Amino acid sequence: MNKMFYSLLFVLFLTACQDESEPTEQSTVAVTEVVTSSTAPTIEVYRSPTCNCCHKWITHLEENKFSVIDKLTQDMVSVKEAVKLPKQMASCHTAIIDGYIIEGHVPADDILRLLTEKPEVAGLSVPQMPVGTPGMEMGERKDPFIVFQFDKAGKHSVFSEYTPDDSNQYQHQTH
Amino acid sequence: MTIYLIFSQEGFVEAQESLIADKASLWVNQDFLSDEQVAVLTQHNIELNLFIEFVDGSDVKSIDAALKPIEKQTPKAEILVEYL
Repeated sequence: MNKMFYSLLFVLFLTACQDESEPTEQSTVAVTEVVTSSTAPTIEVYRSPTCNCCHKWITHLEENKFSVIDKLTQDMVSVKEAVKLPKQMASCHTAIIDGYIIEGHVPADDILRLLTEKPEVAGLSVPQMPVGTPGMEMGERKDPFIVFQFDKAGKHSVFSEYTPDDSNQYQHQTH
Repeated sequence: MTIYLIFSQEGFVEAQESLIADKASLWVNQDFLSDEQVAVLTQHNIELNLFIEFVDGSDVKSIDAALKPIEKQTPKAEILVEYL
């Protein structure tokens, strides 16, 4: 291995030499609101202004007849804390619809099913940012992913699964 | 298992051969890789992960914040971080 890369141990050593204080949390969340469409159902999406994949996810929602209130903020950590999102469910953007939390690149079909069935959960999440999810398209690559339903205590279960088939098309299995 | 955190195209080009040979896992910022680069990784079954928040590869604190959840998920992995 050449010297452009260094091991985790070295990173931790460097970090130990830094100021150990945690970043100061802001008590309020600065939000800029942009209403982008006027058809129901209405969903509020909190995202960083620099998050391109979040914006692409909004486009996916609008293509599926959602009315999107696009809320731009530099402090997504506070947004996720405010809605009590379990840490293991975290992704880039956080949305609210009909009292439910929608975290990350959840497909519109799953949100519509949630609104129809109205299960007793806090919301849905696609944790992290799997390639191939709505808004995370990168060429032909489609990684399998799971949509989880979760409560605010962090309990979660599978809501639906997406697996690419032999022709690289997602097969959707609901639970 | 080996995990690479890469922040520059120069670093990616330099690490690509080892990444593929090791069947390693890769973490990068979103919009970092071209579709062609993603296709090559896919062809070699390389696991590709994107940071939820932008990681500044020249900022040790930013790297450390990104490392914590990765280390927690994969405690036994060898993690290699690009030095800018």
